[in-house]
Amino acid sequence: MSEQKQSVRVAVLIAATGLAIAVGVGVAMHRHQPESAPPLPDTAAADPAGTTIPAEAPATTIREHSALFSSGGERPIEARTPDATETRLEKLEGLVGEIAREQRQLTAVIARLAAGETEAEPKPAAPLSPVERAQLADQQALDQANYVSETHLEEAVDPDWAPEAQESVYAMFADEALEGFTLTSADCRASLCRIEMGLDEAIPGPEAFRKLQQNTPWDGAGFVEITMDPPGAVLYLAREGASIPEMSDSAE
Amino acid sequence: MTATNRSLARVARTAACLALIIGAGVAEAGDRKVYPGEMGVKWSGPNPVYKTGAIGNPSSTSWMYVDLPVINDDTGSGIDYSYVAVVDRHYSSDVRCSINTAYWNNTADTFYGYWGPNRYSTGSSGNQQTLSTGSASHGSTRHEYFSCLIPPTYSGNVSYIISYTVDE
Repeated sequence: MSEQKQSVRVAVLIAATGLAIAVGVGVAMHRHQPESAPPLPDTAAADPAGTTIPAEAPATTIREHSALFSSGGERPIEARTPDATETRLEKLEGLVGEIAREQRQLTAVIARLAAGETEAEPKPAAPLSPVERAQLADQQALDQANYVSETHLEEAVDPDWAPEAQESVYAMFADEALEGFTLTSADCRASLCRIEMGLDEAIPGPEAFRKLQQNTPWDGAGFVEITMDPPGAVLYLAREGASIPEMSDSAE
Repeated sequence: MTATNRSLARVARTAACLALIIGAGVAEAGDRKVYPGEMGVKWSGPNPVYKTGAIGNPSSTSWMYVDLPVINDDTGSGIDYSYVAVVDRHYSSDVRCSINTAYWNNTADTFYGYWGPNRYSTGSSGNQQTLSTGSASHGSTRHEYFSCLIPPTYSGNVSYIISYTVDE
């Protein structure tokens, strides 16, 4: 596997070097053109398309003529003043210098790899033990639950939705399908309802989860935290079209 | 510009484009998997029928409840998007699916679960429909599955879950 990785790395480095050389050569060739450009052909006969650019043509005319010959993906050549060209060339020279430096570094790396040396890589972090991994996972779950709770608390109450949503929640718990679930409180705001309940001890967590999902009063996303001791649950039910707040991966 | 210079410039331009294309491809490569509906597990209702990798409900009277397991092999990332391909051949009832995640916190003796909004098929035909079940990133170490309901047959026509897709 490490040989394969090394081969891929060498291939990538060679490709990058080729690209750097191609760009560098292209720019260098452009920079070292003769100061006086060869004269433009002065007769229409020399131009198979029948268009001739006068020597003193205004910039717009040059652009128009350039556009005639450019394919769809190419930009027309723009007329520039000598100062602007010089500034641009200076920038390009700087870029060429950078490319040359990177090329030398890449060449050195390729030479080392070809000689069988391995690139100095940062030492990988020690893998987590099963206990540490479980602790991290527990913490992530707890953080996510806290994040949803905090988001709910920050919401204002939407009078057009919250009272009606709460009525639906009361009706949900009055249904015999949720026998063994005892509604403690319901707090609906702008996009989330926080629904706290007690649970019959005989209802295991996954079964409680399933029953809650199957009996929600509207088609909203849900996030539930079910505790075993004492048996109870807190369900956050999102308004239709809204979502349960998710901690981003980077924040976990 | 001479012909040589033009050629070199073209080579440079082409190389740059190739590098950009390759780079973009690498950056966008996620972990996408398509699972056959046949991997679904019925947890309530009639026994399923299987057909060319799909799972269907052969009952003329009962709904079938199916969980579709997902392999979470990128534990550093959530689900970026997911969808279920179904065939709904019932005149008035729909196939329904949501993406779910579940996690047991042993330290606190707590179960955490998430379900996404339900997505429904529409109409009735032999054509495949796609239910976009969305993303799920509620903790990166939980397990994931789809929860689906398949309606009974209508005039002998069976509804199916064809496949399901997850991009991590």
